[in-house]
Amino acid sequence: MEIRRVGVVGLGTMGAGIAQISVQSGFDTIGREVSDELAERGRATIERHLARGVEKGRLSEADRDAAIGRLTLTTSLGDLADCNLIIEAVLEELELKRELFAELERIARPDAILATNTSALSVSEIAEATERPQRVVGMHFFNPAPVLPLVEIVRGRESSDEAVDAAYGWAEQAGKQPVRCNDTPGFIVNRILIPLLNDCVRVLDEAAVTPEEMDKAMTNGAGWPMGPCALIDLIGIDVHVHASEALHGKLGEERMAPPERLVRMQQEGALGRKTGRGFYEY
Amino acid sequence: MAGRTVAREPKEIVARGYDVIALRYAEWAGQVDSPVMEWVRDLDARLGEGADVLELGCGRGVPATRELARRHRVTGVDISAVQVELARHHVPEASFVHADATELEVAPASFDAVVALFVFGHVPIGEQPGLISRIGLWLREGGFFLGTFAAGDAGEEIEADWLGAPMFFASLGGEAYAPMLRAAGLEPVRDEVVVQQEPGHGDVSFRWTLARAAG
Repeated sequence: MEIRRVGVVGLGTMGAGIAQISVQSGFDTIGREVSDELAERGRATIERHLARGVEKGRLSEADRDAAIGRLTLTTSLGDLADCNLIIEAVLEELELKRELFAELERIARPDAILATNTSALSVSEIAEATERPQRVVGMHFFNPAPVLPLVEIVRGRESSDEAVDAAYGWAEQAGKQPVRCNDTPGFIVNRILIPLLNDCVRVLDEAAVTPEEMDKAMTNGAGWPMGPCALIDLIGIDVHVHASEALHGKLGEERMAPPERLVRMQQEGALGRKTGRGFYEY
Repeated sequence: MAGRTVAREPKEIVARGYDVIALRYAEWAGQVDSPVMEWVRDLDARLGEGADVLELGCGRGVPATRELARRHRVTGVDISAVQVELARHHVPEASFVHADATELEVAPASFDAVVALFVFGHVPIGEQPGLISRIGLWLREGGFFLGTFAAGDAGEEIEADWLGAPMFFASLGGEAYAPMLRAAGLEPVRDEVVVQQEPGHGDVSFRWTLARAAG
């Protein structure tokens, strides 16, 4: 099926990033938020990022204008009725996503692909809220979505090959590097990275290592492009703790539980770059 | 809050509003930086296992009702039929009643806790004192009331488009509630004005009160 028109539900950080990818790749895109103010905030985020692209010479002014011209905003889900692909990027709450998918099924054309950008919830459980879970897939983008190439294309229990292939094909057309995987907790990257980063944090205390030297060790010894402490600061301590709790809740391995040190940092409000203090000062 | 008096049926506006905006409200509420869970957990920690809890304006049951229903027998009440339907689906272990909280018939001293989060702001000001005094009667001795009240000025207003539908708001004014709670036998044990950032609406202040029934 050819995807011409894309809907993005929720224009927060992830949704705005996904909408930006879509308009920059030439797709007519309609972004849905719950109020006009939030929709405009989403548009402002996209325009700001595109403007930065122009400043840095990655994007011409004409391309920027064309991209912005492909974006429409709405507060009504019904306006997504003629989209071929609808990507959901609302809050990570299962009940909310289930309510939303039930409604998307009602309003969307019968052949539309319905995708969730969830990182921590089960795609299959979200899909079960619809009558036809065959057309529901996961499309897990990484933050910042316009910058990081990976998209995990997640097969729910009932997802059809056609839906998975359509989502994969669209991600490729949008210049991304998609990979396919089953609907298992943490999918690929988070399943591996979360316990690994937690190990790094535990080693800080076990082996009396400073964050600077931990990062020096992993960049020089393991070839990581960025040290684990700098990476957790970038992700946000709270986001990482929440993701660890979710993964630990599902798989139960002790390494997945958030290390005490991170929980303490969260309580102290040292959330990483966004608060100016995490493992490092910013 | 504007001091304009409302002529049309405010309760119908609230009920229909929450029916119509159910999904948008759920998405929006999830983005509000509100301390709901912290206060709900505080209440939970003060209650014994299996307490009888009445939650007025339970909405779709997430997250407060769901959290309380882990350890307690919860009865949720909401004026919106759609919200009650969603709550039954999301929190099957609790029981729910589709009703106007101000018309509820409850036996005296039948609950260990009554919860009313973001409810009084939708109740006409003339009916708020009566509801507060009835809550005092519904609680057993030593029971708890957890509620929020608009912290701003007194008044009633209808917002023409609140997340896609008209909505009715009311307040007796932030300072009016503590004496009213005391008169109902509810002694505040924790009372704070909390500013929450509402996406698209800016900063909004609520008075959060956890009060104990003197009996």
